[in-house]
Amino acid sequence: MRKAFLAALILVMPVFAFGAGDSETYVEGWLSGCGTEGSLWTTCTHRLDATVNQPLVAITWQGGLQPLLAESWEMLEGGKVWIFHLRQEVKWHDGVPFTAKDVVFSFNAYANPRAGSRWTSKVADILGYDEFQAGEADHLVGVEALDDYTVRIELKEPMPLWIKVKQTYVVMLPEHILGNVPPEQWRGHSYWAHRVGTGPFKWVEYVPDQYIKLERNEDYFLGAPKIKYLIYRFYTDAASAVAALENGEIDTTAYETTLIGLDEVERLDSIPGIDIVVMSKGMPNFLRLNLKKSEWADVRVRQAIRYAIDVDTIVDTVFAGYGKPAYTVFPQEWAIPDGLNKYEYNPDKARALLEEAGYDFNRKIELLFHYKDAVTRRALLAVQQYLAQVGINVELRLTDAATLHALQETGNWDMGYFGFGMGVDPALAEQLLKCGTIESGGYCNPAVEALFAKGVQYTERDERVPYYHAIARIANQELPQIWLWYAVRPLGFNRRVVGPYEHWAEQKIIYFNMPVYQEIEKWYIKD
Amino acid sequence: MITYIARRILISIPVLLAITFVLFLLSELMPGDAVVAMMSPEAPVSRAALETLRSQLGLDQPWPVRYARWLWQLLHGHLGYSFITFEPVTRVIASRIPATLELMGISMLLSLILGVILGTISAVKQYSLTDFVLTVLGFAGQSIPVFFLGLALIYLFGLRLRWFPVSGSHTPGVPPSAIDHLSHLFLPLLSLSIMRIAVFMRHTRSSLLEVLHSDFLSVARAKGLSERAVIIKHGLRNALIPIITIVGLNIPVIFAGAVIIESIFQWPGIGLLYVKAVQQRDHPMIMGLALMSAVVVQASNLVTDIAYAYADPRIRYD
Repeated sequence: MRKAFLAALILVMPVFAFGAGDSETYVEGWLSGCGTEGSLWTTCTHRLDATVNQPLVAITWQGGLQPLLAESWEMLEGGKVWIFHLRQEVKWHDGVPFTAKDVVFSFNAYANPRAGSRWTSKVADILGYDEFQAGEADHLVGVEALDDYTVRIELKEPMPLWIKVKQTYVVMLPEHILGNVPPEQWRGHSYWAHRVGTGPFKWVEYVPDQYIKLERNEDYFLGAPKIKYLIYRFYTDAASAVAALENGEIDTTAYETTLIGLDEVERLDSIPGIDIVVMSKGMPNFLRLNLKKSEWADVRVRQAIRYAIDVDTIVDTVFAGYGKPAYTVFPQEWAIPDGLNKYEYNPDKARALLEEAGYDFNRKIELLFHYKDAVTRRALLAVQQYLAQVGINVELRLTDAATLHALQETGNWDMGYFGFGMGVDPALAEQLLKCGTIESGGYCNPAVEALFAKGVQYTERDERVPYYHAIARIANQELPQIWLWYAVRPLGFNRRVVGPYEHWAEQKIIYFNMPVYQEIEKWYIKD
Repeated sequence: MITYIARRILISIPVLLAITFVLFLLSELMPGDAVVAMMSPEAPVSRAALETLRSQLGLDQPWPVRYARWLWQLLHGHLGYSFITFEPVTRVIASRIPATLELMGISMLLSLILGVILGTISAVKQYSLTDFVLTVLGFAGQSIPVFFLGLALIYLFGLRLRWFPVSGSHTPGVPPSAIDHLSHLFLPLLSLSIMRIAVFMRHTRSSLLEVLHSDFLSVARAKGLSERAVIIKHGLRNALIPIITIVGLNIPVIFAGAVIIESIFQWPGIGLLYVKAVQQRDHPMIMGLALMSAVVVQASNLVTDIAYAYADPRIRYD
């Protein structure tokens, strides 16, 4: 009797096999905690800004521009004035027409000091921004609706690149929902748990810490998507997310953090139906030093550190050959000149430089970092060993982003390992080398600031090259941060869905913190 | 007994207050606050935005003011709002507790039943092959780290055999069904229970062995009772007294949730909430969860002591 029951139980087991993504549903893996953060404040919820909400003009996976809510635009006065002609007959998902007042509202939302948007710097070039922030004005004078479908934006100064490096971050929000809510209450508003947008997918439901379900927008202006349902599943643990990819529970892994280790790439790629793309993160990883302390302010010490570390070996072994050594700040090939100092591995030279600079070898310092993945840890262990060889004693300390920031603010730190996203355009690196920012670690060189200012005054790449080459050379010689390597991140794809793999593989660089147009309305599921 | 209970409850109030104070101080000591925790080290932030947010959350006040405010809110039955999602803390906790209670509660119950049964068998058949095998498995179960076990089970049942899903509490997007839910529950339940079964088994075994050789059992046998009645009705009943203590000590764990298991299996319970709250420096949430833990610990200690008094007539409280 008991045996029969046991046998029956075992036979029934396979029935428990669950339904993973089916022929109507595309499932993406995502990070727990990202789902309901608002666009104005988040660093990891920008996918929803491409599927549910949208900007006027988005950056494409190929690095170009795609008109979305703006059908066309005009650049006047050399890039000081921009006229956007909005697409007509677009409706929000709740049926209300999308018009210029939504655009005016959205730009003001990003600039509103009471909203406290993290991305306010993206609208900081608009005329009237400083007055708005200081409380002298109650809106942005530079943003004006000329009629229901035309918006005029005036900047403080001409900036031909504004539409690409700034505007693409600004997402359109519904004025009819958030317009009457005080800005202080925007952040916790229920809107973010049930967004209403104009994009290819509509919000269906949100189950906390489990998933967000979206449904095709039949009236989407670029054509109804072929995929019916889009589900974002949340994961806290990297191993679980990878397991979910392997057993078909998700079709794509998240790009906001490292889920797949470089040592897993080959194994996962060889699974039939699954392909891995090793994306460039569009950022250098580097050691940032507290330049306010005299020992780090000496450029010889910084150069010594770079000479002491055998970056080529680390890239070949720890990064399994993926990724490249970095000699300067920019990841874009066109911004890197020839003839940079490659700081070939030379521990003797490193020690000589340290002695010349009078470095105190008895000093013990902490190398702070926040990346939890095993590959980073291994790389930093190698760095620790190389530095020990020349007499610099570092202790590795893994901590979280909040602690890192707090320590940097108080000045109570020596060395940290960081990355900085600038995949879209080298102009984004300005924050890293600007006087007075936390990201600069105390570096201040007015020449560099002037070069950055000039670099965004032209649209043609050839005209911009000389300025970025100059910055790259300074960054290479002075090592304001000690550039180590360019980071990579593997993404996993289940090929049963046609679209994600193809677009990401062509994109090659991850564009962080912004919506990216990847033709999601054309993606479909093979049957 | 009533006076004893009343006294315990009265004492627990200042204890709870002291606990909240200490916890508040501890969370203050964490470097960085909620605003700073929202930043990513890889993206630039404007300082003005940080300051605005700080004042919105009341983080620009000195800590005694903030503690007093929190206490005042508490006395009005309110635990405040999360710094991150701005939802009322009570509502968030209430929505997440059922998942935790389900996973942990079933795990506790299962482990208790199976543990006691296996422990009894082990004790009764002492030194036999069965006992030996069970003892070895018991040690193994107690020694294997729970996260390793979880990942190993995911690998075996989720990837190799594909019998069970590897994460979540139900398949997203489809209408909820009991079978779907059970299939998601199975692996986390197993990971959690294996260790607990081992613990209960070991304790039952040693406790029962102690009792099996006592005089009153010899009397029972001499009276002519069946071996089964001797062991279960007389032996086990007495042997279970220490088990009550262990169960009582484990009740707070049921509420705290298994942080690691919930992370690995993406089970939407309190454990996951707690970890996120700490990482995000979400002070109201941390305080709310910690207070709940403290209350549960106090309550379960009291219940255990009372149960103990009922189970063992030798114990008297005045």
